[in-house]
Amino acid sequence: MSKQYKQTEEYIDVDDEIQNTAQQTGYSWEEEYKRSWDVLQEDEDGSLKRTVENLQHRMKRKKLFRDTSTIRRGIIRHMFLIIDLSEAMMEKDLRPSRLELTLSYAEQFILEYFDQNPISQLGIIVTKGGIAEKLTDLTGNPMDNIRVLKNKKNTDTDGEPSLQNSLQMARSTLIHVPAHGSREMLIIMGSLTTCDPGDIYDTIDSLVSENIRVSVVGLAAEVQICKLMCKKTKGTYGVVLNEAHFKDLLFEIIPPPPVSAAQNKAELVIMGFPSSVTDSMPSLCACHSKPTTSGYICARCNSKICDLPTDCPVCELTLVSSPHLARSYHHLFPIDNFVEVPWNSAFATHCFSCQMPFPNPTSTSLGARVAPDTSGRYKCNKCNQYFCIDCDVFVHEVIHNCPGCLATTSSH
Amino acid sequence: MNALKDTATVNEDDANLLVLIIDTNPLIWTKSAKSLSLKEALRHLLVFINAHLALKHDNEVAVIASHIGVSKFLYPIPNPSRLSENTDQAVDSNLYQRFKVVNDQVISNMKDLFEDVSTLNSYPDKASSMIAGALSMALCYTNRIMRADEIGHIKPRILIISISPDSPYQYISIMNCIFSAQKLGIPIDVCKVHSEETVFLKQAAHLTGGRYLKLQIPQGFLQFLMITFLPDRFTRNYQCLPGEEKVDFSASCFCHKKMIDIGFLSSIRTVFNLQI
Repeated sequence: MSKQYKQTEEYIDVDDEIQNTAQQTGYSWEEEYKRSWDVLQEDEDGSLKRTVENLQHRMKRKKLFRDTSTIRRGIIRHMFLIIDLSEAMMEKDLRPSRLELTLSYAEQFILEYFDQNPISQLGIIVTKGGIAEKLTDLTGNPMDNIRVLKNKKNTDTDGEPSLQNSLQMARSTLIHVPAHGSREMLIIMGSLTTCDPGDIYDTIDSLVSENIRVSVVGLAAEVQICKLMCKKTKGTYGVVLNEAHFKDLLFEIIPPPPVSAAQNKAELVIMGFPSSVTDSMPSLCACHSKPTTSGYICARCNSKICDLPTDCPVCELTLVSSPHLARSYHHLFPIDNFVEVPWNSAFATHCFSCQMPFPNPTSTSLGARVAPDTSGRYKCNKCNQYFCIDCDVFVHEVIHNCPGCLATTSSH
Repeated sequence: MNALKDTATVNEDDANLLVLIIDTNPLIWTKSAKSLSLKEALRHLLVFINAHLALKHDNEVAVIASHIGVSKFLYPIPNPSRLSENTDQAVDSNLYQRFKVVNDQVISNMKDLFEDVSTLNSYPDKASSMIAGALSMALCYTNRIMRADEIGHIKPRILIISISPDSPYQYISIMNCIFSAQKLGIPIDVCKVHSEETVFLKQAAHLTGGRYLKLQIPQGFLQFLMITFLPDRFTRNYQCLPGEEKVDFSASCFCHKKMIDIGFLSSIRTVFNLQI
């Protein structure tokens, strides 16, 4: 996990940076032509190191900014992942191929989804040859989902996809989901065409009326029907620029979405917190009827279950362990963004949390021709402690705790 | 349990980073002074740290104090020049230089910490210490070291010497730390020296694949440290410890802070209401 995290962060692409900003203003071909190599400037030694460092800094920073206001988020989610398996997925414009990249990202997506949404469910639908096929029903187990994707038989490509069929299939399951959970679909679409049996606008209207959110990640180009569908159902629509951008688009879906106004009334769900037991003699478990020595005892009916989270097979009580639940807390209590500290107030000598020395203001700003834009110091406004860029990223993306606020008294 | 998978990647030649978090709540240490005082415990801990450094030449150590109202690095600190004035510079020919540096810094920084009584007096919750802050700092520090070491040669672990009871207000932040440690594959070991069991830290050890030890015989502190916590992550694969006890996974409700078995969960904000 840590390796992965490292890799994505080291990734740097100047073109990508320009395209990203252009995207907000309009079509990139209407823009004035930008020469990406102008961004790179050599310093006096003819080295690009400093510019690259600055760019890297900015990339890291850009990823960071996020909404820190406390909004209501639905932490019980129900999602269908719809994967296009049409012939268009065999294109090799994404390496190694659209299909292979999609499958490997889908696997990472599933793991991360369950990591961050521990009491949610996910199912997989594939579409090819004009039909849709359900690979897994909604389940709370990530391994079930990954296993079907690993099976080569399930991932053959054929013909054209059918958007309407897959929407209908996902809808037929999602409408039975209890109202306290969210209903979502995520479509990974490689094809520019779809083969539909009826009027897709009717399907979209029914999705809207049932509060189902549809998000689409397009691998080829923007498609009007997808854009319209996402807009109407309040989902997100993105077309990938390159491999890394594909991952970004996909992983944007992982944090729980804000709850829509229609379901904005809190409902209480009854849950049990079973305790784990280890016996010296094996006894039968209620879920598989196999003899086991360890397991969890349902808090209501005392039957033994092998794994959490699950529904008790006897009394149907939802069983979770408290660490599972605690995993989703950080979405509810986000920490504030740190602010960049300008050079003139950069007095701290080292990072508060990792003891890394900061760059010295006097030696770098005078000596070098390409002065660093940033002082490398970031401040938490609550506890007034200074952090380095790596800790800033780490604190906001991994720990979700401000070490300064927790380790000093100033915030209390 | 996730942490167990990663043991396959641990090698015999790996260097080890030990981040030691010492709970220095003076009020609780005074209570336990009869069986084991802080001074004595510190002496044991310094021997333990030296033993860790002596095991391999590239082993690293960091020491963080989790005090009332503040947590602070005791070693390494960014500008140790100030220190050398206070401590005598004389080189002891019978002592490995690195041991001396670590010991001196830890002792003198600890002294500074105890001399500063203003934060201690102003902080309301005197029963607990800032363990969540110390853990967050420890994780940031390990993250920095792991980032600097590109080939993945350094294997970090965290050891908490805990004496204060859990503070329910730190629950969420401690849980956040546990999950990030789990994600990074860092085991958290816990040694509980005094007072009753801590549920949070027990869960921490359980979830990250670390070890949990409740000290039964305080006089044998050093021996327990050496046997249980000195072995590195590679050696632990071959060591067999007494089986894990029952881990309490029940949740505490948000309204009364009581531990419950069955509760109600709001679908939007997690708030537990008391059992029917």
